[in-house]
Parts: sequence; structure tokens; C-alpha cells
Amino acid sequence: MKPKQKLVFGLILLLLCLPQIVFAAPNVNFLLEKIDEVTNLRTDGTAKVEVTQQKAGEGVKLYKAIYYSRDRDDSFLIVFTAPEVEKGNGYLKQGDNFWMYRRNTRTFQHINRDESIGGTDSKGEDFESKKMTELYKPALDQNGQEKLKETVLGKIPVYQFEVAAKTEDVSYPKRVYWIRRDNYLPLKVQSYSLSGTLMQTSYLLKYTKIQGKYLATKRIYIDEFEKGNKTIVEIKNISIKKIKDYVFTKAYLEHLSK
Amino acid sequence: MGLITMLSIRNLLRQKKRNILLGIGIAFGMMILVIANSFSHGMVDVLINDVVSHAFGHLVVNGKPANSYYSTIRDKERIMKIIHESIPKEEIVTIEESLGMFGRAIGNGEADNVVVVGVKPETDNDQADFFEEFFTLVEGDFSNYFSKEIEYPVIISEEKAKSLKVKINDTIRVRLPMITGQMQAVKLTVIAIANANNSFMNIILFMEADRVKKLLGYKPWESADLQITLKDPKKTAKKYAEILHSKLNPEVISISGQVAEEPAFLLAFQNNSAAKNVLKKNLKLTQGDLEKGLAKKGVMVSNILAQKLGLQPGSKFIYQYETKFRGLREEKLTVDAIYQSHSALGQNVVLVNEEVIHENLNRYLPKTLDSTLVASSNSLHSILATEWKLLERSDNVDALKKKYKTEKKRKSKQNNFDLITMYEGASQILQMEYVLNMITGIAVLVLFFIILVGVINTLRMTIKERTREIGTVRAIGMQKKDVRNMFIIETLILTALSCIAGVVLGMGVIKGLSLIEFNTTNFLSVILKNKHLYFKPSIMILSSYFLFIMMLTGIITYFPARKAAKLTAVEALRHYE
Repeated sequence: MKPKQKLVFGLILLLLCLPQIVFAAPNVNFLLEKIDEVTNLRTDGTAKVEVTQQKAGEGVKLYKAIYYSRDRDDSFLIVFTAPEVEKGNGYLKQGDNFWMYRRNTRTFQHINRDESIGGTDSKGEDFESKKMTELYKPALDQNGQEKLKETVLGKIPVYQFEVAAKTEDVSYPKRVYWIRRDNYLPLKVQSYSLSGTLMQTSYLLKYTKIQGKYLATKRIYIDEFEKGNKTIVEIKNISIKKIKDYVFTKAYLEHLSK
Repeated sequence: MGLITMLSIRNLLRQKKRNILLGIGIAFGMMILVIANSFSHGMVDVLINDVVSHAFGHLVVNGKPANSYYSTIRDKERIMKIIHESIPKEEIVTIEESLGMFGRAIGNGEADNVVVVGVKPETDNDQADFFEEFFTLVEGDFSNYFSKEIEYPVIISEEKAKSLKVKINDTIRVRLPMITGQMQAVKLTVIAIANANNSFMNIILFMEADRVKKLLGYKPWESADLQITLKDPKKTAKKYAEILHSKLNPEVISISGQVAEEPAFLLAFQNNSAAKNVLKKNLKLTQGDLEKGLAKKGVMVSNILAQKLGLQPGSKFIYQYETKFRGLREEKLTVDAIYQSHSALGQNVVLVNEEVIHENLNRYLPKTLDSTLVASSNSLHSILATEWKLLERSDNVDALKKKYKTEKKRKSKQNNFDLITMYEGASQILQMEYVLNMITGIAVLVLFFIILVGVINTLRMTIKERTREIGTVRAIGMQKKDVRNMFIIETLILTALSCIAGVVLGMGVIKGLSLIEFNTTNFLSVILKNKHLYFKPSIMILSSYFLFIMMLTGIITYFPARKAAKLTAVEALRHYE
């Protein structure tokens, strides 16, 4: 082959490969790592949380709580300030120990991480910081290809991909994510049961940037199984000041609930 | 028939009005006794045989991971074998898996809470009896319960069908958590609308047990709680619980496997300070950090094995072992410390903290645990972890609650095994039996008192009226004891006839009350059987009541009768009112 022919052949090869090099979509594992990277806020944090729960035939309930968290040792403390029936009740998690505090009886009780928090649809495990890459892996289609595509959500360019649970320790064994292409923030998540029924759609409407990481401050969870049920979670007054050790104690929870 | 008896009968007939009135009193008392006793027995029968045995079991083998709601016995075959070794076959009525889960159901535009429960007859031949025993069919066809064409056929109560607005062949969507905690959603097809024989079961959607098992995520070799229904639970439940408890002792974790084709044993030490202190005294470290090796995720390797495999602290290796149900298992481990091989543990040994292995050990059960590896006489045997924790037996419901509270605080992935009899698990229901027996007992005492007063009063009046007559019969030669016996026999005949009449009346009232249908769904509905009051007369107890009344009557009649008999003829004839 002459040098000229070699050059032409090389150019053709380059042209054929260029779209795959330049426009290749990242794989799902990369995207999961990116989600962990942009959202994994490892700091102390204090915030006010409002949970608006709408249930078909039961009207709307507004729950308000103060939330303290320390990612260093996986601790958090929640004290309800509304509604009246929940006011003063709280939850404290220190490592493996998880307690529920009842103001009326002034008692602490050990509970499991999969028990409901204050009558809401949230569970203790929802407040734990877990990495996406530890929980989920890419779901594959019949040809063994990852279920990943580029699309738009509204007008926002997103990656849409499906993941399957790596462990049995998650509520939903299958999830579909829509994440922004520019900063990898999840905008929409659909959660499916083991039988493949769509159970929940969540929209992550607002994010706040803290120390270079993103925290979703407004989320809507739509119950797809029982139509008409909806939960809105809003996180306000966020502070990332270091929290003193005495905050994550039973005594402080008891003091706060007064 | 003797002359005295004939005279007694004649005397009875002389005072018809008075004796009939007293007879009615005794008969009424006996009738109440029959009704109360049969009702209390019927209720206890319903509670123990319908409510307790179906909902709780007379004896329950409970196996679950600590800090979990969901019960999972990982090796059903092994536990069943232990049960059969502990309880004679003839004492067991059934052994069933307690397959049930709360869920949310959506019918035709209506949602409601439900419990999905799996039940199936013991054998194929029992199918017809099984449905007849449990349900009253309203609509549909039970034969579809086992249909392979329908994915999830379900029997629903009339009340639940109404609340979900569903009819036969309609679909109910149900959301429920699996034993792993994952959410499951399925479509169930209504194949029959039928009321269970006890209305507290109306919340339940009944489905074939194997289908529910699959739905909840149990593997074929796994099981939910095993509920044992015994032939005579009141006598044997506690006794067999003790025997079964002693045989459920766990074995030490000693797995035979290999690392890179080199045979090696995996042992686990207990994650507590006592065990760790013993290890600190006995193990000589050659490399690495002992504190790290003893920590919750600690892995230590004997120096002989480390040398053979070229392992260093920080080295990653795979421990392979043959599982009972899932083929070969590979445990990925990282060496924290290397210790000088100890004669009590063996040479090629991987020694891990029990928390490293428990979770996976539950899922990937080893084919065998080599109990010969570390003999029980061995100095380090006591610090080795066991495959499960067998909880202490509880004497009562309070002890059971206390035990579970303590267990909830235990942060371990180790499985728990517990044995619960109906006396702890369903004590509140059984307390109802105690209350009922109390009420019946009080009623019996009151009735006996009324009978006592009635009989004494009547006898005194009779003796007074017949004093001159006593004088006459004594004057013509009747002996003292004959006079006394005449009065006693007279009263006993009256009591016996009245009691028999009371029993007959009581049975009639029971029959009448059993026909009334109660369409109630409140808590009291648990004492109903097929919407009717259930009476179970006990011939033994009624006979004993009868004999007791007769004996009581005999005793209380004896003294006034003896007094009357002691009168001389002259004294008696002189009597005038």
C-alpha cells in the first residue's frame, strides 16, 4: 500500500470510528458513579423538612420536622414539629442503633430501619446515605446491551437508563432513571416491583449546591399503584455547620421534644 | 322397687304444687348450667381450634434473622426432621407454614387493606373437605383454586368483595412487601366469594400456599414459621415445646471448603468481648493487627495456610465451599491478621468474626457443618459462633415480650430460632377461656346456693307438716333409718327428675340459639362459627354437675331427715300446729 493510499485508508477508518469516539454515550456504571459523585454530600447538616402527604379519600396531611444529620458516622436525628399528633416525637440513629421516641410516654424504643417514620411513607433506611453503585447495576436487554438512551425530559437533554438491584436490600428491584446530560443530576425516577409493575414515580424538582455537591430540596413521589396518593418533600433552611456530638444523643432528643 | 322408695314417690305426689315449683327452680338452674357450660366450651373450642390453631398454631417454630419482621427458616427439611423426631406422629394433626402478609389491595375503583394468606390441604384427597371445613361458598367455584390456567386465583370474603367492589373473575391488584423487604405487586383473580367459618378471617384473601410462598420470595427449600397443630394442645403443647427446644440446638460454624484448591476450614468466633479475650490469650500473632482481626469484619488466617497460599495482611482471597441448595459459594475475604496455628483449631484455618459470615451463611447454607473439627471438649469450642441463636423458652406472654425487646437491641445478622406455644403467642385469646370459666364457675355457685336454699326450705316445711305422720308410722313399727331414708329418697328423686328436665330444656334452648344468624363483624364475631353461636355440651362435666347436685342434696337433706327420724312416736304425735 502506498503512503497516499495508507493516508486515505486511515482517514476513512477515522471517519468511521469518529462518531463512536466523539458521540459515544457513557455506560450506565459510569452514570451511576457520576450520580454518587455529584450527590454524595459527606458533611454535617441541619434542615427543616416538610412532608405533604396526599392520600386518596383521606385529604392532605402536612408533617414538619427538624432534621440533623452527620454522614461521618451515619447518624441522624429527626424531631417532628407538626402535626399536633406527631409533635415532639422523634427518631435517633447512631450507627447500627435506631430508636423511636414517643413524647407522650417519654420512652425510647428500638425499631428497625424498614419501619415507617411518623406515619409517613418514609422509612429509616431512606435517610441513610448509600451509594447507587453499591445498590444497583445496569439492566440488560435481550441482546445483552445496557438499556440506556439519550432523550429529552421536557426540553432538558437527559440520559434514560434502567438499573436492576444488586442486593435484596432495596425496596424496588428495578428502576428507570432520567438524569441530566450536563451535570448528571437525576430528574425523574420510576420504581418497579419485582413483577415489573410501576409502583412509584419520583420527580426531583429543585437542587441546592452545597460544597460542590447537589442536594435535592424538593421532590415529589407519586404513588402509581394507588392513584391519587402523592407525597411532596421539601428541605428548607439548610445549614452545614458542624453539629456538636451531644445532638445525636437520647437526652438531646428528649430535650428537643419538650 | 322397695317400700320406702314407693312411699317417697307417693309423698312427692301428695304435695304436687310445692314440689313442681321447687322442681322448676332446680330445672331452670340446671338449664342455665347446661347452656353456660356448653357455650363456654363451644367458645373455647372455636378459639383454640379455629382462631388459635389457624392464626397462631398450638406450637410454632419461628426462625428469623435478628432485626427482621419476616420469618424465614432457611432449611425446612432439616427443621421438619427435628419436629418429627421430637413429637410422635399420632400427636400431630398438621404442620403448616404460616404464609401471610399485609398488603394494600385495589379492586374496581376501591382500595382496602388485606392480608394475603397461603393455605392448602395436606393431601389432594383432602381438597373437598378442606373447602367445606373452612368456607361457606357464596359465589364462584372452589375447583379453580388449584387451576394452572389462572396465575393467582384467590378466595375472597363477601365483606371484602363488597368493599373492593369485585365479583367473580374480576382482578384485584395487590401491593405487598416480600420477605426481603422488596415491594411486590400482583394481579389476583377472584375465583370464589366465600365466607370463612370464622368472621375474623374476613380480611384475608386466601390463595394456594405454594403460590403465596413464591410471591413472598421464599425459595423452595425455605419456609415461613412452622405452625404445628396438636391433637391435645392443652395437655401437650408445653411438653413438646420443651422437647423440640432441646433438639433445636445449633451447631458450631465449621465449614469445610478450600482456598485456591488448598483444603481449608472456616471457623467463626463469637462477636463478644469474652470470646475475644479468650482469643487474645490463646492466639499468637505472626503478622497483622489482632484488634483488626477481632473486629466486626475481622478475618484471620493460620500461618500454615498463609504460607501455603502466600497470604499477607491485606491480601484478598476467595474461600469456596459447597452449599446445600445453591452449588458452589465464593466468599471474598481480606486478611487482617495471621496467627500461629493453634492445635485446638487445626492447621488450614480461616478464622472470621461471626458477623462476616452470618448473612451469607443464611442464604448459602453449607452442605454440611463439620462438627468433628472442633470437639466440644476443646478449649476454644465455647468461643466459636453457632449457626443460629436458640432463644430461651418463655413462660408467659410478658417474658416473651421482654425477650423480643432484648433481641431487638442485638445487632447481629445471626438467625434466631424460637419456640412459642399458644400459651405465650395467643395468651390474650386464651385468657378469654379463663374469664369464661370464671363466669361459668360463679354461675354454678349461685345456682347451687339457690338449689340448696330451696331444698332445705321445702324439706323443713314438709317435715313440720308431717310430724304427726312421722309419729304414726313410728308407732306402727317403722324404723328410724327408714323414716330418714324416706325423706332423703323423696328429695333425691325430685332433684334427679328436675335435673334431667333441666338438661332436656337446656339442649332445646341451645338448639334454638344455634339457629340464630349473627351478621356482625366486630371483635365478638371471633366466637361465632359460620355466623352462629357455637355450643359444645360436655357430657363429662354435665354428669359431674349432676352428681354434685345429687350429693349436695343428699347431704343437706340428711340432717333435717335424721332429726325428724329421731323423734319418738309419742313426741311426734303430740306435735300440733
